[in-house]
Amino acid sequence: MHRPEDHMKPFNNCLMREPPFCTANCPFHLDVSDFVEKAGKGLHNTAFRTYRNAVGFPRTVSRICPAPCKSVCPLRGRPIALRDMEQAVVAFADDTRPNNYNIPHRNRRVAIIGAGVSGMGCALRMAAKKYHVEIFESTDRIGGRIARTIDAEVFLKDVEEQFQYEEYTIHFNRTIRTRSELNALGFDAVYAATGKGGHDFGLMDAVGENGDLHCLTDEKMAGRAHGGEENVLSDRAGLGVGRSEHRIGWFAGGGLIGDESVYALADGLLMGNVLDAFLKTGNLLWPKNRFETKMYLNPRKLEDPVSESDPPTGSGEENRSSCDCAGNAASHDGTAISTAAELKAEADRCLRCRCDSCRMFCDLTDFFNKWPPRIRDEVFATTLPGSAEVKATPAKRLMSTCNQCGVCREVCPEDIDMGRLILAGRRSMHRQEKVPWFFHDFWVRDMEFSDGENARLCKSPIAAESATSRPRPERRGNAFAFFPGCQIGASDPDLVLRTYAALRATGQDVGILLRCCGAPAEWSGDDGKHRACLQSITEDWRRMGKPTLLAACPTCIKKFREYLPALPILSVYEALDDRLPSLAPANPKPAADAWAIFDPCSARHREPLKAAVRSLARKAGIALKPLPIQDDIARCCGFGGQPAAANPEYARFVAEKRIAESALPYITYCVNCRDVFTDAGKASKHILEILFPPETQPANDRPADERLSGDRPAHGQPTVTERRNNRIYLKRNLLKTYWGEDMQPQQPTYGFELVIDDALKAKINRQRILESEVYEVVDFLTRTGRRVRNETTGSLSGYKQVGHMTYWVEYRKTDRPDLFLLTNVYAHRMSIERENMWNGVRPEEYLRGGKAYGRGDPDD
Amino acid sequence: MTDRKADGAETRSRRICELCDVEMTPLEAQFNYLNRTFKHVVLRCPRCGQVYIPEELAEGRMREVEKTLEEK
Repeated sequence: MHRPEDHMKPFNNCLMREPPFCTANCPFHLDVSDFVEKAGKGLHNTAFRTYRNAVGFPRTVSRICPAPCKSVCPLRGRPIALRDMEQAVVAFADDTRPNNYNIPHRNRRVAIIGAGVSGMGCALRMAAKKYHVEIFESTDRIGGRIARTIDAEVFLKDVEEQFQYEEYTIHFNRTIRTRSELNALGFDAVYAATGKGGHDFGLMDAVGENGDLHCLTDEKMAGRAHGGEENVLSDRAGLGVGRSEHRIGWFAGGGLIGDESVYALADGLLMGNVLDAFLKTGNLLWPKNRFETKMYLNPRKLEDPVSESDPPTGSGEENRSSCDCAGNAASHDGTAISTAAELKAEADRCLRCRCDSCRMFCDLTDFFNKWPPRIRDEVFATTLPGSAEVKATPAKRLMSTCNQCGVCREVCPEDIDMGRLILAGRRSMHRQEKVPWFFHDFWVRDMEFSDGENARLCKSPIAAESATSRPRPERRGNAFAFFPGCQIGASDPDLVLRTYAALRATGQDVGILLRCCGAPAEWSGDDGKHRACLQSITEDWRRMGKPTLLAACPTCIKKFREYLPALPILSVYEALDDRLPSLAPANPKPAADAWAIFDPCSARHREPLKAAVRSLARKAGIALKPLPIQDDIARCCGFGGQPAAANPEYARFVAEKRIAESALPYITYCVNCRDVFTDAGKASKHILEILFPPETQPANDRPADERLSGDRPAHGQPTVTERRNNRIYLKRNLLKTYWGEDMQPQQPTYGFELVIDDALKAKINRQRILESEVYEVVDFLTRTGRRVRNETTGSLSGYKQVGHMTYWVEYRKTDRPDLFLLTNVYAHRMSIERENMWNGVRPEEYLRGGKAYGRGDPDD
Repeated sequence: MTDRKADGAETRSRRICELCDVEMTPLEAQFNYLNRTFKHVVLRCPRCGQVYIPEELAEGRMREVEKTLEEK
């Protein structure tokens, strides 16, 4: 499955738009997050509008709502006092005018039976849509049963305020007894809201043509003053009278159908949409005013100290005296929130529930501020065939930024795997030759170096070589080979030497395989190169007598398990933990009281590996403290997926986030994590450094190649050049020490030397320019004379394209003809083209004529 | 062509093409990145056409263009 489309289906289940629990349980489905946000910001008028738009009659609802939101609030001990907030907003808002929509009147007529909250709610919505609204009320007042619950004046004030721009007619003391009474008056739709036990007009048992309850249609009696019950057609499906022009829609709701209080009002408000839809389309639909949410709230949101610090102040159901102190927002007496500050405090407690697990843990979504469906859409658009001139390519950089750590799927309740999608996207882009080479070029070349003659080493375990039949009680019954991975030898070759010596010292036959696991090729999307690398690894392994590989890099283990499951692989940490009952007490304790183990993302779910590292650290006398976020959601240090070229800001962003997780120094067992943290100034050590500090290196293991070892810095991180030299040094030392072989690195030699000061070395390193490339350019310039002289300083500069990259050097001559002083190096990705056909002066034919490149007279 | 200016040309001292021993002048040069070709005026040798690109140009405007093209 390499096509991006194959990974897109689960994205349809993304829960990002699921409403929070309170909204789903609210009779009015108030957008609580929006309301709380506005209220918390002190935007009382806009918060009021949000609330009023949802509930219709804000003063009434904020008094009588039983607040079903509370029972579903995840802050179980002390749910958000939403009703108190609503009351506060109603009290604080100084502009409570309704919206005045300037839309033309409609000629359809709507009758509402009953002027209770439900009927008035429907009237409000229909009047706002400018329908002709008439209300028939059997008593002489409006409000229905609401007057028993609260002061009728409150509801009247709401009605007065909300209807101030609307027109409607109300008939008091007018009881409607049959449908034909209203049918004869020429109404197009009727809402029966006669309240609990009221007259139901046959609607209680009615089932509409679409299966919805409490609705039916009557045929319009053209030219007849009175329509009898016998003329009623309640279901005319198939008779060709689906359009509302020919039918009168009858609907029942509110207390009549058992929805009391605010639920009756909610029915009435919803009826505005139901009648509107009926009048526009003729469809008889009366959906239930309930909806469910599939919301998933990451449990870590509840671990937020804000919600835990202040324990519940008591049962929210108790009546409280009006002297509740400030901030005690759990009270129900309506005086709990009396200031804007208290309102803000309560709003701040709200978790703003939404499913945002990925946003909490995936650094990519955090950095780009994008949700999975958007990323899916962007990857889809970007990977579509076609050039950027005719379509958008929004995710080009994003795809090469992903760390490929898999945490997105780990935390997603719907198993949405952005990492897989993005990897498939990278492969698709590579097939289409649309990946900017710069994004992955450095690491692919680095991998080629690791697998090349100068660095790759494949030595069988001695037992496998000599085929002796010594009893080997070790697991799997075969021999072992140390597989340190390509980066640890680049970063610290002596550490590999010390570890290898320790492995051999256990009396075990241990061969060695120095090379790359193929991860950079995988991450670059180059499937062909990746497959070739895997094939080559398998061949090496066979040649070595099929040993169990002891890997030091968790990423290698992850990649082998995924792509080369037939190759037995074990972490060197588990092997060491088994074989080293105790570590030499001579090992100096690292100079920190406590350390935190930073589990690399690739070690996620590798419990034996994680346990072995912890056991080894404790054996070495280290006191360990856990990180706040660990285990199954271990996250990347920023190196994974190699985003540093495509998005250096992102790599820094991730590293800084990981560092901020704990003030403790980190012990890690991925050398890339260690290097990333060390680069960023965080104290961190590789577990092997703690197990085998430099002092433990046997003297005979140090047959250092003087020139190469001299290149390695005593302190600090090796440069990209030194990392390559380190690999050569490692291979050479291993060959010499254990196999008595001399190695001659295959490196070009030049007839000059460059003096490069430390500042320039650091600059070159930051740009990931190899010193060998600088030598190559200077060599080219001295051979061809294609140089530019600065007349003032006398320095020389020039360029050469090496691979894709164009490198510029500036240098000065010294007293010695074979020694140059390098003064600057820089590079660009675009290439300089057709240099000798410049400016139209020299025609292309000149080149075809075989004249020397860049030489000769333009006038000839 | 007389009003053409090469990026970085004014702020720097005179540049001499070592091969031709003539001063470099602002002239158009062609560049390619990610299969897109474009032209820009830079310092060139009027005889052999050798291009000179100062660091400010490589790490300024050129870097911006590179980044833009990488997203296309």
